[in-house]
This record gives sequence, C-alpha cells and structure tokens, in this order.
Amino acid sequence: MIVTNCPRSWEAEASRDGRLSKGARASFEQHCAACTLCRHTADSLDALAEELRAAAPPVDEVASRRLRQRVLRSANEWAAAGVAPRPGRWKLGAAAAAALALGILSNTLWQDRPAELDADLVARAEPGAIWSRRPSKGMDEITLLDGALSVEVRHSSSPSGSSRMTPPLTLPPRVLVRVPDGQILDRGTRFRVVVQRERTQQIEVSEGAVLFQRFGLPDVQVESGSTWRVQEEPAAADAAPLQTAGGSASAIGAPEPVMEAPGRALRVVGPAPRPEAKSVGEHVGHLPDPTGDAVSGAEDAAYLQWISLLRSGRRAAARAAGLDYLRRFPNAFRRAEVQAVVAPLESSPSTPQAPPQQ
Amino acid sequence: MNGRRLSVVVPNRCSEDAAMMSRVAQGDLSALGELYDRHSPGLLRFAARRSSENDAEDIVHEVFLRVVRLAPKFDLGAASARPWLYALTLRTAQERRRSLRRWAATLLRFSGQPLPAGAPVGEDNRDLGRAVSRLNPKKREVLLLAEVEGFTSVEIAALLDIPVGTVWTRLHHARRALRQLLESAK
Repeated sequence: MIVTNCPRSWEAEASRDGRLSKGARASFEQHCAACTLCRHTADSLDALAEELRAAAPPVDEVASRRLRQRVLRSANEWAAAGVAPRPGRWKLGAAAAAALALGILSNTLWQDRPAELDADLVARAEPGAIWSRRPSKGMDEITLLDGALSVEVRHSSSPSGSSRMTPPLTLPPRVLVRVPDGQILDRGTRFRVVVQRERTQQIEVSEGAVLFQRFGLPDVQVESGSTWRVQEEPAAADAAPLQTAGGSASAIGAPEPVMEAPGRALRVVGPAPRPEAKSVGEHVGHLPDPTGDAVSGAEDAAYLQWISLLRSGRRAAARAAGLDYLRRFPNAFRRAEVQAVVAPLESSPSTPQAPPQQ
Repeated sequence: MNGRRLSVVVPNRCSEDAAMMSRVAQGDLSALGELYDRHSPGLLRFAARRSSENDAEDIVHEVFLRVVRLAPKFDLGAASARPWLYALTLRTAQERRRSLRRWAATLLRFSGQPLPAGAPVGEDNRDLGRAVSRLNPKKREVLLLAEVEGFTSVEIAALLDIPVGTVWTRLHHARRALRQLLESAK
C-alpha cells in the first residue's frame, strides 16, 4: 500500500536539521522503517544534499597554489612594512625571523632591481620607492605610494626585440599605475611617475602617451616628450575635507597641471572623470573598492595615505590618519580593516572576539 | 629579555587550528600557510558558490590577510577556526559583492573589450547550480553551509550571529524554494 500522507513526515527535515531531541530522533528512525513516505522524504533530503555537494565547483589546484603564494607574499609585505598584528614580536622565533628577513630582502630586491613583470612590461623603481604590483589578465596593476617609478611598455605589435613604441592610442592599456590621487593608464609608453606626500608630483613621458585619471578632476593625457607637473599648493583634501558620505566630487581637490611640454603634448581630456576611473583598489593585497563616486575617491585617498604612513613606520601619524578615516567614512568598505589595525596601535588589549562586523 | 625568546609561544591546551592562529598572531607566516592548506579548499569552494568562481580567489585572499590582522583576537579556546574563517569569508564576500560588478566593467572598458552578455559572471549553467544561484542570498548561504559545508544549525547560528530558529526557518524555505525552482525548470 502506498502511503500518501503521514503526520510525522515533517520530522524528516527536523531530524536532519537537529531540531529533534535524541529520543525523538530515534523514534523517528524507527518510524521510518515502517513508513515509506517518511523514508522517501528523508531520502530525498539526502539526495538533494548529495546533489548540492556534487554540484560544487572543483577547486583548481594550480590556482589554489598560486593564491597561496599571493597570500603569503602580501602577508610578508605587511610584515616588512611593520603592519603585522604585533610587529615587535617578529623576533620571537627563528622561523618568524627568517620570514621577516626574506620579506625585507625580497622587498628590497624588488624595489631596487628592474622588475620584468613579464616580457613586455618593465618597471624600475628608484631607491626608496614604495610600490607593489599585481599581474592580472591583460593588464598589470602597479600601485605606487611614494617615490619614483619608471615604466616601459612594449605592446605586442611592437617590432620584435625592440623597445620602440608603436603608435599607441589604438592599443588597449597594458598597465594601470595606481597613485594616491588617481590612476595612470599607458597608451604604449615609456614613462616615469613621481609620487610624494600622497600626491602625484610628476609624470614624464618619453615615448607614447599616458592618460592620468585624477579623482574629482578632468583626465589629463600626457604625450611623448612632455612632462606633467603638479603645482605646489596645499592639498585640497586638507583644505576642503569631505562633509558627508554623500559629498561632492569637488571636495577632493588637486592642483591644476602645469604644462611643460610641446604645445600638443599635454591636454585635459573631457569635462570630468568617469566615475569608474576614480577607484583605487588592489593594494598590497586588498580588494578593489570601486564605488564610482567622489566619496570613493576621497576614501581611497585617505586609505592610501593611512597605508603609506603605516608602511613608513610613522605609527602616531598612522593612528591619527586611521582615526580620521574612521571619522570621515563611517560606512567605508575598509572600515573594519582600519579599525583592526588602528585599535592595536592605540592600545593592545587582546581579547578574543568574533570577526569584525561591518 | 623578549629578544632572547627563540620559540613561538603556543598555549598548551588548544586545538591545532588555535595553535596555528596563535603562531600567526606571533608573526609565524609558515602557520598561515598551514592554515591556508587546511582550510582554503573549503573556503574557495564556498566563496565560489556564495559569490562566483571569479571572485572566490580574491575573497579568500582577503580572508587570509584579515586572518593575519585578526589572529591576535582569535579565541584560542575554540575547537576549530573553521566557523570563524567561514564567517570572515561571508563578510568579505558581502563587502565584495557590491563593488565587483562596477570594477569588472571598468577593467573591461579600459581594455576595450565588450562586456560579456548572457549569464552573470560565474553563474552555473546547470539546473541545480542555476537554481541555487537564484535563491535569496540569505537562504542560499544557510543551505550551502548546512548541506555542502556540513555545519550544524547551531554552528551556522553562531557563525551568522542569528538565532538557531532563524537558521531552521531559512533552511526549510531554501529547500522548498529550491524544489520549486527545479520543478519550474523542468
């Protein structure tokens, strides 16, 4: 006889989810031996779970190993920059010391040598530069926080074995250089960027062209043989801080460019930056955070400033910048991260707690 | 005197995960690697199902960087770091979700490539995968945590910081919605 209804069929799900007591569960299991409907219900739940598990995407082992290296490299960078949870304790063990030494060594080597990111991209940081890079599909991302960096891009359509640039503007960007106040896209280029005090000071283009997309300001295209320089004036971000999370783009100030090149070489492009051009994201291993509005740009700039101070070991200034960040951006994406670092800087009570709530 | 200490101090009575977290908190990055080896497959899988396969690596990368920063605050009495890591993954994925699409569109626009048409990035084209992806996110994450990752309802409640009754309710409705979606797909 086929059973079509059973008052205990709900117990199949309840048992599975742990809603039944031990005794009630045993009773239901006994009941299942005699009730086909309940047994079928329980079996169907098992089958659904099995299907869900089977449908899980396989983990790409190669990608996983690559990610492991990426994680450890980023952690090393943090450690070398003194941003590890307890920097003073890096001396505790030989292993930790070795890891730290490796981190510093690799960081130093990376900064001082010409970095062949791949065959068609060479980035050369000058001593003292603080920068990182992240290769990605089709476009390498370089973050320059401070100092000078020269970049040479050889697009695939360049003559073989030559570093000469091809006519650039028709080619897609090969490299994205993130700077504290914007980002720079190559257009088939050899160029040099100087960043100081969290602002781009100079972009010098030897060949090709670059597009400098500034937060809250029009894009600037710098062409071959020209140099873009920032005017010396106080950062407008200091002079006109953002009012609220919904503030306007004008709150993020930046100086106007000084043209110092052949007349055609440098021009302001477009009336205003595209919203999506304002984001500064991946930076020493952090997630990109493009929100596409002026506040995002200000937040990014404040965040990068904070990071820069941390990395330079200026803990007091970093704490002040972190607190300022938290005050100005109460709903920021990176708030938990900043809090997590600023709190230990302020005091170091280490009480166990759950992961941070946003 | 601190400089003379040559070994990383690990509490005597704690789980392997807690010991690793303790070592990470004291700057031992090899412990981070061990923690990664132990938990990353599950986290990558969960992140891929929770968000998309394309995002999973970035999410897990961010999770382990957060581990470095938050390890000193980990409860060394915890039997496992697994629920804690999944909670971190969930929160990272939530934060990530809102920014990812614009970011992807930006990169594609920069590179001059057209935006991909059709299914959303990472969406599984199989019926079950598609049905799961169409579930309410809250129901989906509870269902995946319970049925794929094997967490108990009590663990999920702690992990998501919600009452266990809510977990049961979401599980029930998730299964029902999933069945309906699968039926309608036939």
